[in-house]
Amino acid sequence: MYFLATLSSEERDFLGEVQAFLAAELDAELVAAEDRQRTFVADHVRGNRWVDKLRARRWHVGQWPASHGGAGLSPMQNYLLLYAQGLAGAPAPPPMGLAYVGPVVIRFGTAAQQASVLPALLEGRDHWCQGFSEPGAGSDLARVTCFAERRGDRYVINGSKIWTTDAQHSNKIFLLLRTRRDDSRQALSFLLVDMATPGITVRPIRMLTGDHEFNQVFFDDVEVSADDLLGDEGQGWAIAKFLLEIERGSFVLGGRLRRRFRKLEARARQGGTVGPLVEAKLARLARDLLAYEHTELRLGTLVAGGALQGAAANMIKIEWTELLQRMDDLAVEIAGPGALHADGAPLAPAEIGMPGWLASYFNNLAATIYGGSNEVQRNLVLRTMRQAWG
Amino acid sequence: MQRLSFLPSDERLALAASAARVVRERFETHSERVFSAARWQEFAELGWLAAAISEANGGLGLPLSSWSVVAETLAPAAVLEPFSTQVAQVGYLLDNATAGPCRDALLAAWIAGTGFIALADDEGEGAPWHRAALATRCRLDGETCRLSGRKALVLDGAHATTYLVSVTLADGQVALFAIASDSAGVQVIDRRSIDGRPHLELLLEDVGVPASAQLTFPNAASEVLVASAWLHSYMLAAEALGLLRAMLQTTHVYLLTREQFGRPLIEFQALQHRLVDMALTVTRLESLQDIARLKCDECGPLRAAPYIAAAKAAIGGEGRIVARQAVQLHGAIGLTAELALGTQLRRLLSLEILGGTTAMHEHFWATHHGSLDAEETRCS
Repeated sequence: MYFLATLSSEERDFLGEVQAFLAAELDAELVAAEDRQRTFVADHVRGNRWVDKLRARRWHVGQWPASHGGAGLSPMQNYLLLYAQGLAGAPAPPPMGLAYVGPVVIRFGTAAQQASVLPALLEGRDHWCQGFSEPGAGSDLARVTCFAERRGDRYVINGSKIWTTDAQHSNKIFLLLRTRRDDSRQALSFLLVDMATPGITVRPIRMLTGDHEFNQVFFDDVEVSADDLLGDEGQGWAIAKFLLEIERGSFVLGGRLRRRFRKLEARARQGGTVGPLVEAKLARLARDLLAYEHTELRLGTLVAGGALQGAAANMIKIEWTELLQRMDDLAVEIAGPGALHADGAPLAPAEIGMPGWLASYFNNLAATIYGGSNEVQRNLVLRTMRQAWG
Repeated sequence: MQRLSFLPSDERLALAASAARVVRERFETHSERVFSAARWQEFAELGWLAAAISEANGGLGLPLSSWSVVAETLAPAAVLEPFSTQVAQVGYLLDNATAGPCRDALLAAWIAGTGFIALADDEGEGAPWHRAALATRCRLDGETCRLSGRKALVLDGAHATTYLVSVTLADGQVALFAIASDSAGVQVIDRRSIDGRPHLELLLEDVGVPASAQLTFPNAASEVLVASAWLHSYMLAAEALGLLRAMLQTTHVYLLTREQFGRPLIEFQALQHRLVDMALTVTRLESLQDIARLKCDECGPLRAAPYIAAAKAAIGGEGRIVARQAVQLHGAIGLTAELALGTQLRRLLSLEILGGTTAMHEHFWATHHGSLDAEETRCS
C-alpha cells in the first residue's frame, strides 16, 4: 500500500479496523475459493456468504446513506474498505442488488418502493439481476425493444433480455424497456419486477469455458403492477445512465488486481530463474498496476481528477479491464502444457474441464465488453473532453 | 477528516498560479526564446527559488509538490531559464551542505537570483546514480587544491559565474568545490543542445582553489550528489509531464479546427479514440509522477528512487508515444518550426535523455520493484 503515509490518522484507524475485521471474519475457504475464481464476480453462494459477514458492520452497503440503513462511508473510507477486501482475497459480493438497485431506489423510488425494496436488500432476502442488454441492443443500449404496454393499473411485458448475470439465482429483476411505440429515449422506462411472475423464462447461456454465468430471460405477456414503475414513464434512460455510472464507478479494483499480480508473479517465479523477457513484463505490469491504483484513488474518490473528472468512471473502467487482460496474457505466456487440462475427477464426454485460471483468461475477455464496451467508454471520455476543453 | 495529501495544497496552487501568470504575461507568443538574467532574477523575486530551500537556510521550506508544479507550468512555454535543473542540482546541494562562509554566500546569492551556479559533476559515465570513480582529481599544494580533469556536461553552464566541481580526493572520497568560471586553467567547450540550452563541456587544468571553497556535507558528498540526481530526474519528468498535457490539449484543439473531407477531424472516430488514448496515457503518467512526489515528500529523493524511476521511465517511453500521436494527428504541420509543438518536441526529447535515459530508469525499476510491494511502513 504505497498510499499509507498519505492517509490521515482517522483514515489509518479506519483501515486498521477493516483489516482487523478481515483477519477475524475472512476464512481460508472463502479466500481459497476466491483465488480459484473462474469469473470476475464471485459466485452467488460465496458472494452472499461474505455479505452475511459484512452485514454486522453495514459494510455490505458502505456508501448507502445512514438514513437508509447504510454505513454512510466517505468515498475515501469506501475506497479503503474495498481495497483492503480485494487485497485480502474477500469475494466481491454480487453488485446488482446492493450496489446498483439500492442507490437507484434511494434516488428515484417512492417512499413505498423504498420500504418494499431496501429492507429486503439489506437483510439479504432479495437477489437482483439486471435486465438491460437485448439481442438487438448491446452497445447501443437505448435501442431496447422489450415492451411494457400500459393496461389500466397494470403493465404487460413482452420481449427478452440477454447476458443477464445470475438470473438463475435471482428473485428480482430490474428492466429498461419501452413504454411507448417510438424509438426515442423518452419512450424508455424502468421497471422493478418479481422473477416469479408468470410468463418469465430463464434460459442459460453456456460459455466456451463451460461456465454458466449469463442467461437470456424471456417475457411472454408478463403482467405486473404499475406501482413497480421506478420514477416516471419516460425517465428510464436517465435512471439507467445513473445506474451505469455506478456500475462503472462503484468498484475498487486496485486491491484485487494487486492480489492477482502477486499470484501471477509467484507462479512466474515458481520454476526458479525467470528469463529476462518475463522479468521485463512483470516489471511493466508492476508499474502499470501502481499507476492504476493511484488513478483509481485520485479519480475514483472524486476529489482530484482535474478537467476530466467527469469521465473518471469511464477512464477507470478502461484502465482496469485492459490491465486485467494484460495480466491474463502473461499468465498464458508462462503456462506449460499442464494448464490445458483440469485436475480431478475424469470428465464426462461433453465436459470441457478447463482449469480455473484459464477459464478466467477467457471469461475476462468479457471485461472490455460489459458495463458498456471500452469503445463506448472512449466515446464518453471524448464527450467529456469536448465539454471541458471546448 | 484531514485534507488528503494528494490534493493540491494552498502553496502549490499559489505557485502554479504565479507560474501561469508569468507564462501568460512573458511568454505568450511562440517566438525565439533567449535566456535573460533579469527574468531569472524575477523568478527569484516571485519566491520560486526560495520555495525549494529549507526555512533554516533562509528559504520557504515548501514541500516538493509546491515547487515542482512551477516546472510543469513553465514547460509548455519553452522557457529557457532552467528552473528544474537549478533547484535540483544547485539549490538542493547548497541547502544540504554544511553552513559556512562559502556555502552561505553562494546560497544567499542563489536564492536572490543574482548568482547563477552550475553543477560540474557528470563525466559521461553511465546512469546518474552510479557514482563511478571520478577522473577529476585534486592535488594538494599547501593550502591550495589544484583541480584537473574533464566534465562532460555542465547543464546551462554558459550562464554560470560559479561551477560546483566534484573531484576525487587522495583518500578516494568525493568532494565538491566552488570555483569561479573565470578561474585560470578553466577551458569551456560549447555544447548547446537541441532545445537551445547552452550546456558546456569543461576542461580543468591545474585550477587552483583554496580549501575554504570546499562544500562539505553532514554525510558523504557522493550520497548527496546521488540524491540530487534523483531529484533532478523527478524535476525533468515534471517538466515533461507539463509538455505532454499541453500537447494533448493543443492536439484536441487542432482536431476541432482542422477540416478534411468536409468536416472537422474530431468527427472521425478513429481519431477520437487516439485522442482518448493520449488522455488515458497522460492520466497514467500523472499518477506515477504523483506517487513519486508523495514518496519524495515522505522519504526524500534517495528512498523514493524506485518510484521516481517508474515515473521517469514511463514519462519517457510512453510520453514519447503520446508526443508522436500529437504529430500524427497534426499531420505534417506538426513537424515544422512554425508551431509551439516543434519546440516542445525538441525539449521533450532532451528531457527524456537527460537525468538518466528511459532504458536506465526502466532497468532501475525492474531491479527494485520487487522489494516495494511488501513494504507497508513509513520510510525509516
